[in-house]
Amino acid sequence: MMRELKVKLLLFLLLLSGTLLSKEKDSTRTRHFVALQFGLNQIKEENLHPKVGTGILTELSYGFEKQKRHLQRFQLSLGYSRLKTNLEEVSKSINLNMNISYSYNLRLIKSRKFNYYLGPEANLAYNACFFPNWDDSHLYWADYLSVVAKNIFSVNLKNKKEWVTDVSIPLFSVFSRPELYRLYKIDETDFEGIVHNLNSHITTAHLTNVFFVRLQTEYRFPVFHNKTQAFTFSFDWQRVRHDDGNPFYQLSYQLGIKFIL
Amino acid sequence: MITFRKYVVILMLALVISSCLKDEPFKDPYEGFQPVSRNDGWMISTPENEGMDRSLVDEAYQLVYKDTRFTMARSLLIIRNGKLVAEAYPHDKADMDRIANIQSMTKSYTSILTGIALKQGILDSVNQTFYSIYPEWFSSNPEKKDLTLKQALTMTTGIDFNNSEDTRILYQTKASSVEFVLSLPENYKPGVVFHYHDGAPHLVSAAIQKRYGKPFSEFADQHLFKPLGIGDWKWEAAHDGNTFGAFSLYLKPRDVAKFGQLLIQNGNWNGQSIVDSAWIAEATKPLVNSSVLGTPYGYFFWIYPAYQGYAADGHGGQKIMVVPQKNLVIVYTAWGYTSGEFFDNFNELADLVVRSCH
Repeated sequence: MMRELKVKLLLFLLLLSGTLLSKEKDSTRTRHFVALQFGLNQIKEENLHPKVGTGILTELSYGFEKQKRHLQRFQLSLGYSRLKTNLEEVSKSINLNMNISYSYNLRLIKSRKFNYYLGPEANLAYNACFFPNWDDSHLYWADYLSVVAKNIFSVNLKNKKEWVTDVSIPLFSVFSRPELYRLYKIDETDFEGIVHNLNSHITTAHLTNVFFVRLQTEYRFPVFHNKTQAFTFSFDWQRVRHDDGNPFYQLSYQLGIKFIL
Repeated sequence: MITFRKYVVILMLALVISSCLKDEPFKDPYEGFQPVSRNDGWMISTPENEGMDRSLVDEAYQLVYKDTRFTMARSLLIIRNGKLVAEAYPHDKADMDRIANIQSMTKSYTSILTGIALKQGILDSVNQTFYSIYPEWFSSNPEKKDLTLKQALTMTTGIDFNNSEDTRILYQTKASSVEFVLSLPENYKPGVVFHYHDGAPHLVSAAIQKRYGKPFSEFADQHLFKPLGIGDWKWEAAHDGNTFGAFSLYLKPRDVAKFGQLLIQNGNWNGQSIVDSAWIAEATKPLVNSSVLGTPYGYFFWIYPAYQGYAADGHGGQKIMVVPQKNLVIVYTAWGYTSGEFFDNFNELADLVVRSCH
């Protein structure tokens, strides 16, 4: 029932975007961006143990925005962090993540000072962890492909400055988690084995299986002729849990800088 | 007046402060150690009925339930006079019915299965060479033709097998796993220097498998697991089909305890002789001084003179400790994949339990 509703909502959004797109007459403005962010990363992989690993997350992103009347956004982000629990002296655990998203956002509110966009986003996230102190033989992961409701709020400030905030919440996902009890001593560790693992046991998800809240807010200001820079803050909370396993949690806060070309 | 910018900053700070992930305990709350009766061949008793000091047994269990100690513990079982007197599963009660990797405790099973294979005439003697069993894997390694079963059983093969790297290759190689072990360089003359590794037991299990004509795990099922009433188990094999003699046997904790009890009963189980008592005596006596704090080693068994006992040890700090003089078996199982940093000190548990025996 819930799944049907989600599919209907998605179809509605896609149809609405198509209708509105056909009415666009404005010229397209494309802006590429590169961003570098640093921040706190916390991971709790309960398939392994219930302690929180904490570390510094470094994330590099590239993307572009296309704006006519509506707003399209593509972003690729790669993140890396080393983590440790309170029981460890040295950060040995590794978290690698890759996130690719594309959204088509319809401008629903337009005023001199404020714009609001809403649209569907396709989000592919790979989140892999290796905990050599706790499990020297197995890879852990929480991967998903989600259809997301993306909300973008844009506030125009004085002197061509702008405050842009977006919030993403998943509607429907397919996901992959490792089995809770793996009856094999060592994972295949060649490239093929890792790719196979990260894409194994793919299951459709309810909101209770894959849920995340991703908030990004940025203060944009012009620097050179036609160039913009931004200070960014992002917050990301996610929970991924297979019905037959324990949850994976990730929480991160990051501050960074973005160059919009 | 709060401006828009200040409002956003306050909101961000509130978000950061209010939503950090929280640690939770490794273990369930401690609820005692009284075993429950099940139809699995174990007689149940209490510490008092078996001449044990309950308070010391309780102290051992309190220790294993501490959140900062034995962090990845899965079970602690105590058997005295052939009866299960205490058991608990700190991580999850369901671990009682779950098979789990006992890691290198597997080597001691390979030792006892070697004794069974000798008793049945599948192997000729411990002085038999591997070359006499599988000559085809020596064509590239003729210098190792004189390597014997005894040298493998005492970890004195001289082969430079490094567990931290070569175990992964042994596990993942698509070629002959036996040939891989034999292909490694020889650091010492065989029979002289103790060097603990996963290659030696693999040579032994492969030898029995070759002679038996069926997987070594099937040999174990037929001649050890079935007689002990063990039905739920798994034993991994290399890609070439050779069962790993060194690791990756998966068992339930109560079934692990049966192995310890079989040893204390000199190889007899329900009136049937499964393995010769002479083999157990030979395998569990000091035959070589190990490189691990000089702890003596038998045939894939660690010898603990301080307890007048011996043990099967496995990654994660897992242990089957047998103390014949006290008619005592202690089984400790743990998550089998942690680094040594989290093995903890089993001897603290053993001291309490051994001292509890009058």
